[in-house]
Amino acid sequence: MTEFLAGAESGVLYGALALYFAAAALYFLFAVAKGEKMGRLGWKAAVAAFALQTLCLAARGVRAGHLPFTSQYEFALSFAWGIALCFLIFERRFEMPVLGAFVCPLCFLIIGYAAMQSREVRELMPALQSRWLAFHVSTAIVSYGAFGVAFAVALAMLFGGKLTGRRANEEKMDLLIYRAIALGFLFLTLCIVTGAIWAKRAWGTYWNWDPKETWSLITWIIYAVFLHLRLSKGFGGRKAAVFAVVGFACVIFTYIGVNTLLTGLHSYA
Amino acid sequence: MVPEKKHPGRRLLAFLSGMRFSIVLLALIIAGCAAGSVIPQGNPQALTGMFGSVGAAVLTSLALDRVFTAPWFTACAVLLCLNLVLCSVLRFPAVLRRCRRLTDPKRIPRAESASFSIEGNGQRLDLKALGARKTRAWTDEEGKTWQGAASHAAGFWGSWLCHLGILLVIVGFAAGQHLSREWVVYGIPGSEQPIGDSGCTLRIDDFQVDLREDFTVRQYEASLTVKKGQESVAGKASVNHPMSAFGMDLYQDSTGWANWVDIEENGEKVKTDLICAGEYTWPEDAPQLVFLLNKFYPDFVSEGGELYSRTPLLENPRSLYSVFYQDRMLTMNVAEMNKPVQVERYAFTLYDPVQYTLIVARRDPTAWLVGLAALVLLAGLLLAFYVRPQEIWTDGQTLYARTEKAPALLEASLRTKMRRAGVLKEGEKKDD
Repeated sequence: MTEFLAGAESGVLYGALALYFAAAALYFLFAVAKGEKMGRLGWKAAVAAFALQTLCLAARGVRAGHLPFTSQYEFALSFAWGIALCFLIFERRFEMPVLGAFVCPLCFLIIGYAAMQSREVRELMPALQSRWLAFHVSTAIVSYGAFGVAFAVALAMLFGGKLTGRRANEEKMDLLIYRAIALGFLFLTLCIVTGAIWAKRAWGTYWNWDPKETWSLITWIIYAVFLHLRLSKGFGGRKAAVFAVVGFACVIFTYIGVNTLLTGLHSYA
Repeated sequence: MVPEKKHPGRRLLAFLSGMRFSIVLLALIIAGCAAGSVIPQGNPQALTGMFGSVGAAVLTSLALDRVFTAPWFTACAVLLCLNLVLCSVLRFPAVLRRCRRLTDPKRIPRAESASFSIEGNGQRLDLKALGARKTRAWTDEEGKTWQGAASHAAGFWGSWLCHLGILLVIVGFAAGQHLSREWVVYGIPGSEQPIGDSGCTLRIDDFQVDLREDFTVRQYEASLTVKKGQESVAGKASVNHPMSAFGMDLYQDSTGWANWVDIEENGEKVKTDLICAGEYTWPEDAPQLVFLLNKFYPDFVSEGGELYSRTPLLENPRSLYSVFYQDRMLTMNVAEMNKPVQVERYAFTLYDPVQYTLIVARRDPTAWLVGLAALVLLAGLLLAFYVRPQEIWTDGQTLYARTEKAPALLEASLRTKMRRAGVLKEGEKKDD
C-alpha cells in the first residue's frame, strides 16, 4: 500500500507539473494572440492541474499519516496549491484570464522546486504533534497563495504589456492586487497569531524572535504599510505593483531563505 | 492675507501622528529585525567567529548583537505606540461622528457627493428590491421623492481597531518582558527541588521517553508534583501539553543523561555525586582537581575518529570525561561504567546512567492581554477589508451610491443586483 501510494504520489505530482506547464503555455498564447479558445483551454488545464495536485497532497497525507505540511517538499507542494486555489477563485471573480500566463508558471516553478526536495516520510517529532499544526500552516498556505497571486498580477501589470503586446486593464489589476494582498494579510495575521498560541503551548513563550517569526513580522509590516497607504492615500498603480513584488520577495525569503540560511526553532524541514 | 503660522506644538503633534513618521519607524524596526535574524544575538563567541574582533566591536557598539533589547529598538517601539495613540486612538470621537453621520436620518445626500451613479431602465427603482433592509424617504425642494439606505457603518471602526490591537500587542509584550518570570529545574525521577524563588517546590515523580521502532522520539513525558506550603498539585507535562499549577505553567523542555559518580581517595569512598553532561565534580579536600562529564553515549560507537551513539538505548554506555587541575586539562578520555578513572590518589567511578528531564516553569500575567489584542486586531482587519460603509439613494430612476472603500466593487455588486431585479438599463457591457 505504501509503495502504491508513493508511486501514485509521484505520478500525479509530475502530471500536475506537466499540466501547469501546459496551462501556462495556453494562457500565454491567449494573452499574445487573443485566442479565447486558448484561454478556456488554459483554464481547464489549470483546474486539472489543481485537481491532480490535490490528489498528490491527499496521497502524501495518507502515506505520511499526518497533514502534508511538515517538510520543505510538503510545504512547497501546499504553497503551490494555495497559489492555484487563490488564482482559480480570483480569476473567476475578476474575469481576468490573462493572469494565468503569470500564475501558472509560478505554480510550475514551485512544484519543480518541491520535486527536487527529499520526499522521505518522517514521523512527527514531539513539537509538531499538535492540532495547531493544521491551523497554523493552513493559514500560511492561504496567505502565501494570495500573496503569490498578487505578485503574479503585479508582474502582469509591470511587464504584461511588453510581453503580450496588449495593454491589460490596469485599474482592474490594481484592484485585484489590493484584494489579494488584503486576503493574504488577514491570513498572515491569523498565521502569526496561531503560531504564537502554538509556541506558547510548546515552548512556553509566544514570541522568541526566532528567524522565521522575525521574517514573518517583517513581511507583515511591509504589507501593512502597503494596505495603510492604499486605504488612506489611495496608493495604487505601478508603485503598488512594485510593493507587491517586494512583499513577495520577503515571503520567499521567509519560506526558503530562513530555512536554508538561518537556524532557529522552526528548523524542522 | 498672511497665512497663519502653526503653533510649534501643533506642528510637532502633526509630525508625531503622521504616516511618514510611522513609516520611518517601521523601516527602522524592519532593519533591526533583519539584522537581528542574521547577526548572532547575545553570543559574543559566535559574533567574533562570524565578523572578527573588529567587526564584533563595531556591531556591539551599535547594539546589533542584542537588537531586540537595544535602547534604539525599544525607542522605535515606544514612538510607534505614541504614533498609534495620536493617529488613531485619539480619533475615537471622529470615527464615532462618521458612523453617526452615515446613519443620520435627517441627513440628505447630494448627487454631487456620489462615488458613482447607475441608470435604471425606466422601471421604478426600489432599494428594498436591491436588498436594502432599512430605507428612509424624503422629498427635495423640487418635490421629487427620494429613497435612501445606509449600512455597514461598523466598517469605519476597522482601521481604529487595527491600530488599537497593534498598540495593545506592543504594550502587552513589553509588559510581559518585565512582569513574566521563568525558572528552570532539572533532575532525575525521585528528586525534589525548589522552583527558584517562586515559593514552590517541584518533585519529579517519573520521566519517560516514548521511542518508536526506528528510535525517533514519539514523546517526552514527565510526571510532576508541585508543592506550595501544605498544598500540592500532581500532573504530567509533555511537549505541547504543559502542566499548570499555582499560576505557573510547567513545560517539558529538554532531556539529557546524568551519571552517578563515586570519588575514592586511596581506596576509601569520600564522595558520591550525580552529574549531568556538562557538569563537574571534585574531591572536597582537593577542589582544584575537577572531573568534568563532557558527554554521555548510551550506545557508544567510535568510527573513523568520530564518537557517537548508535541508538538511544543503554546498550554500550560510555562517558566522555576531562580532568582538570588548577584549570589546566590533565586528560580527556572515554570511560566505561563501573571502571574507575585513576588520577593520582583519587579514583572516579561512573555508574548507573539515568535520564534527567529539564522543566521550565513560567508565569506570564500579560499573555491574556496579548491574546485579547490579537482578537481586536483580527476583528479590525475583517471590518477594514470586508465591511464597507455605504450609502445608496435613488429618485426612482437613477441609483446613486457613495463609499470610500473600493467603489468599483460596490458598483459591480449593485449592477448585478439591478440586473437580477430587472431594472438595469440595457446595453451595460461586462468588464474585460
